[in-house]
Amino acid sequence: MAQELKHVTISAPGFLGINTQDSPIGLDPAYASIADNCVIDQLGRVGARKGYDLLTTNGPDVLGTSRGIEAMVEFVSRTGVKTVFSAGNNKIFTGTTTLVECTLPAGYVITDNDWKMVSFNNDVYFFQKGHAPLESIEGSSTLTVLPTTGGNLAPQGNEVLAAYGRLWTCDLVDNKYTVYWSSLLAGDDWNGGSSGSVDLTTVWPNGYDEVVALAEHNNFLLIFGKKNIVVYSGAESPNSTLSLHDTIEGTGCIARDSIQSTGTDLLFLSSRGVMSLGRLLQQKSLPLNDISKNVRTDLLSLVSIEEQSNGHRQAIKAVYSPIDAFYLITFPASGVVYCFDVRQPLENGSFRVTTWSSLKPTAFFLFVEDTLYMGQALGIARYGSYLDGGEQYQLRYFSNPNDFQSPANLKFLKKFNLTIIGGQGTPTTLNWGYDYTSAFTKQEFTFGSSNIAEYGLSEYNTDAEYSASIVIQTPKVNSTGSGSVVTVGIEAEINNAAFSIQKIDILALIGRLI
Amino acid sequence: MALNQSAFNQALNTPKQNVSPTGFNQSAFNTALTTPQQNVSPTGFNQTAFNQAAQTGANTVSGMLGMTGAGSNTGNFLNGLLGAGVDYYAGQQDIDAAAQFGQMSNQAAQQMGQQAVQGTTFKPFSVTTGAGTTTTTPTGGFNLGLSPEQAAMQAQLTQQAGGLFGGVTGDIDQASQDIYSQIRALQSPEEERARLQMQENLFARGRGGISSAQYGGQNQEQFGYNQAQQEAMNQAAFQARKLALGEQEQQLALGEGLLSQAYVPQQQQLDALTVGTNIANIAGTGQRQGAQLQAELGGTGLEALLRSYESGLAGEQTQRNQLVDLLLGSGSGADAVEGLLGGSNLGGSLGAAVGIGDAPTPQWIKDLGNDAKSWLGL
Repeated sequence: MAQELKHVTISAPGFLGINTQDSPIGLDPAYASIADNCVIDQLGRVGARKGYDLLTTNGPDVLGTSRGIEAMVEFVSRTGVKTVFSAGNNKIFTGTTTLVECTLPAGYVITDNDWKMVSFNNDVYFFQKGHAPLESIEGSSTLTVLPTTGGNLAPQGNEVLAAYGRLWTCDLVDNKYTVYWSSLLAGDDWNGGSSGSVDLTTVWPNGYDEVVALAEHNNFLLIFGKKNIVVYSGAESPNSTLSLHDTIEGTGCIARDSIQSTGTDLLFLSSRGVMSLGRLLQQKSLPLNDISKNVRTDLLSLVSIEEQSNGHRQAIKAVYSPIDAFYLITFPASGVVYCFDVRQPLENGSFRVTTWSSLKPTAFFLFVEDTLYMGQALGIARYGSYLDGGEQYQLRYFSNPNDFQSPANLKFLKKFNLTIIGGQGTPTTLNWGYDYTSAFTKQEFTFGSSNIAEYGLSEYNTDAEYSASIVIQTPKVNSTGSGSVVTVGIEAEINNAAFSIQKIDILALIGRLI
Repeated sequence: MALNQSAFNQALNTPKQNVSPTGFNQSAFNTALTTPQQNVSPTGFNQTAFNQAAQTGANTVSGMLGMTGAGSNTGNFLNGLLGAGVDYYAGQQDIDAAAQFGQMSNQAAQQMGQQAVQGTTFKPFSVTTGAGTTTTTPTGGFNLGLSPEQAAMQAQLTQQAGGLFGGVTGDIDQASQDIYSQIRALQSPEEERARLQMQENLFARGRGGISSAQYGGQNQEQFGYNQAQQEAMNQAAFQARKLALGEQEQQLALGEGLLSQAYVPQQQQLDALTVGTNIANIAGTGQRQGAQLQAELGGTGLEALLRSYESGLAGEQTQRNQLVDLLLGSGSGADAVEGLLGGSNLGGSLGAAVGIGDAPTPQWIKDLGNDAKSWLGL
């Protein structure tokens, strides 16, 4: 007598993002073990991330064999003129399509590309450890050394923050315990006017620490050490009212460029993972949350690799895109980008997270029109389309091992019914395996091409097209084998088309008890 | 009346027998005036010798000429020659008598002056009070002799005053610095407490390490604290200067007071000396008045004596002239009168007229001495 097939549906697989921290058995099937080159789309599905369009045409000429563009900023002057400054190959450029080298002060030598560039008071300031700060007056491509007047040089800090009407800097080669601020509205005056500094050696709650980064959040000045955070109020008049408001022990920032503000939270990379510092309304202390707890071990291993590869963590960059609602943090040495969906935190407080690989951005910057730009080895690229510089990239989704709520029974997979949104012309491979194996059984299939996958494209007043607005693929794949737990995966070569996994239906035969 | 010179000198020089307050020997003086003369004319003219000389001369001339009781021509010639010799002799006697009288008068005046000096000479005296004994000196000075206690007290006060005066003239900057240090020492504990409290607040608020160009390289609180401290220091410095000057003024006043007090016993001694001097003046006044009276009387007597001798001289001149006339004759021609030497009457009535030889002293000479005695008030 034939047994009834048990129908198991994984709706919106990977909807909760990657979870590699909890035990896979009994874990919600909405978690994924792998969700690479994926994002959580607007409908809560795991979908393919976008690729990038390389804008720069003279990258090899100006960047050579360097790591590419490692820092960038878009400056908009008071007159509305936009100027993109970028840094790479120990040079500073303007432009995106054609990178034009800026004119440096006479004798000025750049030895690294860890610039922190900020726009302040209609000027652009460039700070990097061990380098005299530079200034671009009103977006000029001719840079000057600070100060432009007077004899006292500005602190050669590695971090710079434009807040409260002045510039703030810290993390000097020989001084990692002092935060300096410029005179009011004078980013080139660090020794006169209302400029000043604060020595934090007596402030750190756990003894010695090193200042890494600065941020303004919730009207507080946050000073990030590697292992502590001190929260100052009254930074609007630091000489008279700057006052310690709170201290956060045990959590600091280990990568200067990982700090991003989402408007409500301040996200940064700490030695515990990616943390979120929320805004406070009534509480005294800012609520601190670990948003990467589901991938903590994997993420911190990448941090370690980054430090081992480069000797520092300066290459770790991050960006927040309000349009895409994600926070990206890249680990160039590993070629991995973690993508945190910031729409809604999970029950455990973490954010849904996916990874991006093969993109290998070296810098991020969100331009004024909310378009995400990133640095690449060959220049400046814009986040968009579904090709990486014209090349396909692979989406990978794998579920956690699933026992179908019957951990003591064998499972005989009979058939997969997939529901894929988009994916036209996309070579796809279905993977399944039993009992925690990584030797999956694969079944390739390719969706037919269609040009209706035009989600997000504006075609108003263009030629009329008469086809379905959304391409839905529902491939059916027969499967074989048996085991107690089943792992399912989909690998798709994203080929300039969106690809979202809507649903995976599995027909399985529940066997005898093991 | 002739002056008994030896008695007169004895009267002037003999001390302390029947001595008046001025030391004048009145009895000796009276003796000198009243003792009868012996062969002495009022001008000191030796009448006996004169008579003898006159007789001896006449005899000698007569003997020389061999003309005892000679004729008239020879007599006239001799008479003229004798007359000229007698006139010369009489004039010479007048000159000698006047010189001797002047010398005697000078000596008498000097003796009277010396007696006046001795009579008015200052007699030292002493005044003794509780503060000591003040002794005057014959030369008009005095010696303020303080008692040992008062002298010690004066020395102590003077020494203390000197110490205070040393402070007055001391280094004002150093004095100000010392007072400033004392004021700062008083202020420092409270400042230190304020500083510690400020530091606590600063570090509790995380502002301990703030350095601001706006506040000269420090934070606002430290700047305010230092500013207040500097103001306090400035005020202390100013106050110290004023106090130092005030102390100098006080030291000056105290020194002056101590020095003034140190000389109070001496002043008291001087005041007592003034009182003693007034008392001594009572006795001194009588002494001076007596000496003055004695000198005045002596002068008056001397003047009367001078006048009496002048009268005596004049009388003796007259007498000698008359005697010459008597001896030699006077007039000429019909008015010629034959003298005693010119006739047999030589030496007959002359001695009786002037008391020469054994003749008694004429009454008119005695009257003359009595008048001089009354003039001198003796």
